[in-house]
Amino acid sequence: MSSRYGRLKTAIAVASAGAVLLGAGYLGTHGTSSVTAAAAGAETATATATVATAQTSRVQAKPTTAAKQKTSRGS
Amino acid sequence: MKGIAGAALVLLGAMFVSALGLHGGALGQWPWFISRASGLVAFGLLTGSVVMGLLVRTKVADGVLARPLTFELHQFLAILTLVLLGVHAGSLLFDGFFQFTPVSVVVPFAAPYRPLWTGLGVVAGWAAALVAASFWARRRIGQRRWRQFHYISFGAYLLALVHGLTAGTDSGLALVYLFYGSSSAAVFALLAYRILAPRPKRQRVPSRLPLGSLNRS
Repeated sequence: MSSRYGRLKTAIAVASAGAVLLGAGYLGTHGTSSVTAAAAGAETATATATVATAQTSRVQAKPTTAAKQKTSRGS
Repeated sequence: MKGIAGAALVLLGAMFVSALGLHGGALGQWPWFISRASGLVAFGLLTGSVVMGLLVRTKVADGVLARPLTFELHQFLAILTLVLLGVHAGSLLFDGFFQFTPVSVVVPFAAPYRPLWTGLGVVAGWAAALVAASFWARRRIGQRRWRQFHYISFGAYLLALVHGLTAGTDSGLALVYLFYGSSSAAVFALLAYRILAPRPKRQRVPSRLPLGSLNRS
């Protein structure tokens, strides 16, 4: 490609890079995150698996009331 | 001035690459937002390229913009669209939630997020890449074939629009909706003009003048 209109092309490229950064900043505050997108019903097998794993680990980390009672009785 | 702009571009690029170099988890949701923003900018650039191409063909802007400038911008915007598409797809690899792989961002309908609608975007990206590559093959394949091949760009634009509206999580925002609306209005208005407006008939200049036509004096 020839180097004609080089300054204009550079300006367009810089403006595009700036628009990406500004746009990302705007979407960061006003947009929808990937987690929210998945929770809104757009999740897939991978996303579901990730959520399920997180839930399982949370359940495992928190012992049930019955288990607590059993432990206290046993001691 | 040109040097400053170039340096700014390199700096922005370096910032982006170094940011992506960080661990996906540390970046949190930023790769997702960068992907969304770069997707929108890529769509804007694709719109610009298609509009410029239609302006060249319809000659609507001949009085306002010089034809060489319009054609040069048409080519340049097509290539810049591909760069932004690279950022759009590449940043998804660093998303902390969806597990995109290099294969799932280049193979249609293999994405872990809305496979059908994301797949349309991948097809649109490949179509845009093919059209941009055809600029270099123009002499080899000939003007007529190149022009026919160029019609793929309308398909790429349409697929990109559908991809943005269906897979884009921010398409509901008024600003984004307005952006898609004004883009499609510009493209479809020029396309309608291109199809419906009467074309000026080309005056065929005979390759050889008939014998005796020069001896009328």
